[in-house]
Amino acid sequence: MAGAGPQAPGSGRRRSLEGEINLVPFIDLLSMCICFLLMTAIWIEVGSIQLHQLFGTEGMDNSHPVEVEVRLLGSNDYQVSLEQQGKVISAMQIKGDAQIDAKARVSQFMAQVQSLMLQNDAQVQVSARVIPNAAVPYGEMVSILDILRGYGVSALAVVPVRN
Amino acid sequence: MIQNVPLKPTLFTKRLLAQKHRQGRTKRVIVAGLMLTSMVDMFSLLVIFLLQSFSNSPEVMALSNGIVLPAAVSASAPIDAPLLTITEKEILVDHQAVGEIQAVLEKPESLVKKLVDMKTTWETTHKDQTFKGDVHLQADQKLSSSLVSQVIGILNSQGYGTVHLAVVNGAR
Repeated sequence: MAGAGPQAPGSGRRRSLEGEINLVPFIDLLSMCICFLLMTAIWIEVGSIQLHQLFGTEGMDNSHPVEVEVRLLGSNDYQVSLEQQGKVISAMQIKGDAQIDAKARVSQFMAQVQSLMLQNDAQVQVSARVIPNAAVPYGEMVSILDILRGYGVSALAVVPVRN
Repeated sequence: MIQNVPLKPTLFTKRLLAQKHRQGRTKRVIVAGLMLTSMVDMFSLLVIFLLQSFSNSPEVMALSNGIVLPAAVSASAPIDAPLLTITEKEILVDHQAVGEIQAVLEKPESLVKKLVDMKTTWETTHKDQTFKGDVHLQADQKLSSSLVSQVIGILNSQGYGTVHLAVVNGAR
């Protein structure tokens, strides 16, 4: 077993130089290191969704000619519209039911918007704004923002409302 | 022997004697040594792996107690920015309480003062750079979305235009 000092000198004139390193304190140290690293590890991975809020004259720029507006009317009840150069191209009310969630319908809407953009072969930047509602929890709003971001919406904004 | 009369060995004693005899013949002395070298190797590799994986991790955002963050799939890594937290009761800036939510929304002077101070500090420490207005926002997922949007409105009014909503990476 490891963990002994240098061997006793032999009976002859030569002295044995073979020795074993005491590994027990080394193992103790490594065990402590592993315990410390595992305990200080952060297991919940936190990320962020970036909002680029437009204010002042920024809202007048033409860098994002296509804009999606999602108005949260209630939980599982939204109104979505697609605007180009300030004109509403399409608008619809999305309501979830027992069969399909409203968020899934927003995904379908965004897939249509994406395919429309690809058909036009235009490298346009799509921006989106979400208008919250007091009846809708923050977690649901973040889910909508997540869907929009997943479909390549480059600029997301939340409109501050007081209701 | 009982009263100098030899006892006949029974079947059971015969078997016991035979077993003892057998054991005596096949008895081995086992001296086993535990190989610690491979264990030390494994521990060393574990420590190196853990240190390597932690050194590669990006900026870490501290989670406030009692807050359940919403989940998102398309989240990006957090950056180095001040942290504004909205719990069910109060608003905190960099883990320091500013006031209760309703009180702050009605009279946002205390929050505004804190935000202005942070902006001034940033501008004095980063003289050659323009203020980007980055701020992290942690809010409980059960809070009203309009309430959070009002806080975002206060942030915007003080020049914090890029709000990073803190989320947990994972399925919605």
